[in-house]
Amino acid sequence: MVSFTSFTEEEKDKAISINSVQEVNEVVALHDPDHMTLKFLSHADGREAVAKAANLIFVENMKQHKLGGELDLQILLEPQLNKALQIVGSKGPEPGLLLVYGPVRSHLGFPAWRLRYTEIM
Amino acid sequence: MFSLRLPIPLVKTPPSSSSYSPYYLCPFHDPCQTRGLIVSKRGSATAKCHADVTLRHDRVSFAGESPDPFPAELAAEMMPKHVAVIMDGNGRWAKVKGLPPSAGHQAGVQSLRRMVRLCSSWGIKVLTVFAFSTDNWVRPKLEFDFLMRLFETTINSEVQAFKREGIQISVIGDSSKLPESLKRMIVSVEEDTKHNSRLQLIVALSYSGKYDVVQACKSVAKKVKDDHLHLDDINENIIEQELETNCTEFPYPDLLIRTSGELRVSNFLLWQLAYTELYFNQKLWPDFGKDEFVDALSSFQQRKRRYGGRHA
Repeated sequence: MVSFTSFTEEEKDKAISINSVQEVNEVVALHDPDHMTLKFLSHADGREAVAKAANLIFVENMKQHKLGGELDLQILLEPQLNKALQIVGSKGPEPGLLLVYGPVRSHLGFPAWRLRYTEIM
Repeated sequence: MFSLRLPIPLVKTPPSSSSYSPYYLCPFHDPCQTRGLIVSKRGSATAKCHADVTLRHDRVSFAGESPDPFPAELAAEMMPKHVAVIMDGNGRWAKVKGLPPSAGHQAGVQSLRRMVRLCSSWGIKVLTVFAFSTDNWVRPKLEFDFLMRLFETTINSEVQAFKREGIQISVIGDSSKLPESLKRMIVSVEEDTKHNSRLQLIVALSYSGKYDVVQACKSVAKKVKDDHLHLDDINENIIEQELETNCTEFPYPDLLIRTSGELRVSNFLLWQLAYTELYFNQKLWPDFGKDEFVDALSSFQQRKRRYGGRHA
């Protein structure tokens, strides 16, 4: 899998684009098992997504009144955050290779959650 | 129209007081000079430095007054405030020399001492080192036990020097799995050095980037439960305040150095590294010395200048 990062200004268009791309991606994946996935990411898939995912977990727990004790906090682990990221539309595979272009040797806000063991060149 | 949105502004260097500064020159060393530097490095490595270096506002050391004078090829005003290091390669260093892994870790401690001394001398405010990852728990128990004892003996032997030289020690990571004696020692050394301000050395023990994000979310959840925080207020900034790097004034590294030739950040400061300059070096950590550090800093300064030039 190869990932690219792009940035957009319009929040609304971004939200719509993200949903549309996801739906198209799922359809294509079903019809062509030998496909290669091309994913376009934006600034909102980075830290913002983690904040949204955390908020989603809190909302669900508040609804189910599960924040009554210390034990409830223990359910907040990596799998829960992964699932929440998926729901907010920003979960993705961890790329094996990240290519950085230009004079800056930084990943410029690429979703950090996925960069755990990614090779960066 | 394509535009770049950076949530965190890049550090802008203040305009130079004079249009010309010798520090902006980047002379390339000829082989003779390089050999001289090598000799100098070995000399300084073996000699013990007892000189007491006082804190100066200009951050520029003068020859003779400091064990590590400021390198001529670097610009003092463009030094990174926060340097993070993934100290990788101790095991391989020992292997190529036919030594046990423990010898590699001991040599790695010497490299860390040298790095701390250089950062103190050259005005870097924060040095964060990745000493032990939560992903390292899979290492053999014998090596793990040795590492824990090495951490304890190193902290114990260095604490007086840290206090004397104005170095503040902070330890981040999941301490629940560490030996009790090491935990007590950490509490003690953090307390003893908390008022020091020349250099803050942050040691990541049993740490990983994902662990840090998860524990930050837990902290936020607790505040929501205790009604100290409303759900609508949760955003990036709230989570940032709960990351373990909130122990420092400069939580976001300007420069990350990864040794041993690997090109990964290996679950280190994932959140904090979003806009950090990444520098990968081929040397194994025990061989990463003053020359290599100068190269990394020079590379960092080159990038900043070129990046700024695009907006000129």
